[in-house]
Amino acid sequence: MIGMQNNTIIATFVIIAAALSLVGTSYFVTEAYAQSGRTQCQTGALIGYGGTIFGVANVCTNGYTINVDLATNYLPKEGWVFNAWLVDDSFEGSGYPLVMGKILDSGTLSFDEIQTNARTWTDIVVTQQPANSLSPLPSWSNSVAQTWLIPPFGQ
Amino acid sequence: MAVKAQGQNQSTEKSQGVQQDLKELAQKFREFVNSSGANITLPQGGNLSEQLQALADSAQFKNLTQQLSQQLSQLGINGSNIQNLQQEGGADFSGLVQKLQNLTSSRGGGGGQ
Repeated sequence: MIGMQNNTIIATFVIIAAALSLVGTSYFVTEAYAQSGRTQCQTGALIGYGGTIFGVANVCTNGYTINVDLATNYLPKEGWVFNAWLVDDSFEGSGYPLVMGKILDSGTLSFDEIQTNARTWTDIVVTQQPANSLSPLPSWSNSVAQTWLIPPFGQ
Repeated sequence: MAVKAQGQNQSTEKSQGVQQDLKELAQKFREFVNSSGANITLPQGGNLSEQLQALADSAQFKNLTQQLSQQLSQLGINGSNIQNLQQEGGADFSGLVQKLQNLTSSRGGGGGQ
């Protein structure tokens, strides 16, 4: 009877230790993954399609993380909002657009994500869309500004 | 079921069409910037406000502006939206850079200033 209890305790201990080990390993792998490259930053002028300097964007990546800070002095028209998108258009790229979100009333946007390959992005495009639009797609014909990303992006 | 599948196909086609249009827009923009000779990537370090002003004053940027204004329709975008954009009162490059610096400093640096 005492032997059975001991076996149960030992088995429970082994399971807990294995679980903790897995959690710990997962944590360190995630951390290593996120921090595995040197973080490089670049600052680009957002050029309005009308030929003005619409704003400025600071973009940093280590290959997996991407951090975007964007500022503009321009205001969307009444009832509309500016949305900012990352676009993958590197040579034979997919053209896939990822919305970073709405530019706030303060004219700023911050975007942070950990991705499998953050270097795939090539451009930032700002669109102007109706504030009540439910479409998840970019209103590309209402695009207002763009900047491009230099290496390490575009890979 | 067939109706649902048809709806999904239309949705996929629309999504792919938008992606293609956006991709073409991005490519045309790059062509214009390349042919103008303007460098829209700003040097790291230094005074960002001055760098923006230097870009805006450069002959290459004026060339880009001219190209964009002449060929806005070629980009396939809504010209009246672009031309009617308004700036905040008293907006200048210093204020713009200050906004950006407030963002980058709130995450503990991040370069670019």
